Amino acid sequence: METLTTVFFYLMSILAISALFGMIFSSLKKSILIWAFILFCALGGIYFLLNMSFVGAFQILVGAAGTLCLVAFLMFLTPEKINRAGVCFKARIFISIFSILLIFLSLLWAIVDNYLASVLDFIITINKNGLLNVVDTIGESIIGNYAVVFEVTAVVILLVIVGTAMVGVFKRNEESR
Amino acid sequence: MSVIFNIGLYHYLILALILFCIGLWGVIACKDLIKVFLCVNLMMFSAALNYSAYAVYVDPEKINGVVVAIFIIVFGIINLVVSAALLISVFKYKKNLDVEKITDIKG
Repeated sequence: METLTTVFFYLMSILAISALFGMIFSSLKKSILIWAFILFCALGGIYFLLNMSFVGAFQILVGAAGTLCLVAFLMFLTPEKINRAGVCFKARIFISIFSILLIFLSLLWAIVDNYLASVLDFIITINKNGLLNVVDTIGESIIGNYAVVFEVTAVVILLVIVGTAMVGVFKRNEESR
Repeated sequence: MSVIFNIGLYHYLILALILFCIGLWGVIACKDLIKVFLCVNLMMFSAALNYSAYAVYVDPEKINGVVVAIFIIVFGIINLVVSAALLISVFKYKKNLDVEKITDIKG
């Protein structure tokens, strides 16, 4: 079972990382499909591996279905010629790669350092059973401890709906002139 | 070798770190605004993966990390919706979504 978990984790990790590279380097249509299907399925699989099937299903449903519809609209509303913009290979790109590599190595060093400390001191105890999988607990927690955040999220979503509609209305008025 | 094959908290953290750094590089390197916003979303989702891994391994009795991860996913989708509307609006004025050709933000 442990071997199966290991194989699944590395498979999903390689799938997610390769999908991300494919999304950056391929054309716009392919990158959106890669982003919507492969990447979200890989991330959902990792959530399932973490014994969080609710979040995994949420990620796959919201990510793959919702954003695919949204980005498909975006794709159909824009013509073909903008799909040619790819990755710029200039001198600044090497500077960005160097700086991001620096960030990566520093954070990796922090993680590995903590890992060694935890191995020596047994700080972090691994316990994968618990309440994470129960939808009732998540719902009670959202309504209970996180009620304010939930309400703020609802207001933000309402503002997003109104703002997006306003952008569309403004656009139509400008076109009618 | 057991460090590699026994999957634990740090494997998830390193995976989230790799996804975050590639997403950051995509934000800097991509010329297409749609890809830039997709990479920003991916950085948010890697943060959600971080929260979830901590929720499972460090404090499995409580549900805080899971709720935060759900909120991050919701806000990521909201971000995508707003960015889609703005992209369409920018395209109507500029007829282009290349970041090097959009130099002024006011139409």
